[in-house]
Amino acid sequence: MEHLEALSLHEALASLDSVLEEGQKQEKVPVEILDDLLTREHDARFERRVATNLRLSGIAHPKRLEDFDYDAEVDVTQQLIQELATLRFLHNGENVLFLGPPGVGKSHLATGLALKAIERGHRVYSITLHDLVDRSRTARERNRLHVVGNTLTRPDLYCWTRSAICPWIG
Amino acid sequence: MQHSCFEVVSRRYEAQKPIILTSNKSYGSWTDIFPDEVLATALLDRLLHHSTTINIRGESYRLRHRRQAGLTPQTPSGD
Repeated sequence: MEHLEALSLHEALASLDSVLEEGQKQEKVPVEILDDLLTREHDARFERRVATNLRLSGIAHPKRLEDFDYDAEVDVTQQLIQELATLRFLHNGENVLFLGPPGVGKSHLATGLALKAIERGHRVYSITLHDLVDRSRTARERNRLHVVGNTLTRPDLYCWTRSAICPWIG
Repeated sequence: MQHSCFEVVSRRYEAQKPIILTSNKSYGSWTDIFPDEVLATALLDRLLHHSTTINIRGESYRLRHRRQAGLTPQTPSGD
């Protein structure tokens, strides 16, 4: 028990009694019980990671892909979005660009894809162009550009919304 | 400002890590709003090298909701 704690296997420690009891009832062999215990620990860690990644992602209004209204008078191929939802683009390092007039659901789809990535354990960073420029300026003034630099390369996915809403003035 | 944008795109490109981007401007007009044309071309080049573009057409849901709520009159049909 102390070892579980020393190894920071908190969830395994918390569920030890119930896993042992269930194993005894169902006459499981030791390796099955061990597997149950480690599965609980693993699942709990994954859930925690997802929650942390969501918190750090900067996504203020989580809109899910499943809630997108394809029937609205907007021309988006559902098949293409479903293909993107497999996250193959992320593993292949391919960018995804949503272009269109304001109010057709670009941000909804982008956020929905970003949430999918978070749910599968990826680190996502979401920012609007306005905030990015703001942050870079502040960082430059405080000589902390490396902090901004880390947010550029560390996340598995960079979600950049409202990228050209106002003229970019050098 | 344009350097911040270029840095995002090029750093992600070098790290081979993807970007999801939304914009209400088409590529063509990006060079118009980007004062440095060389930088704009370099940015687009890196951004589009490995990419999928989804062009969404349609009416703004904000306008649609307003119209459904009767707040905005129907546009007169001239055709």
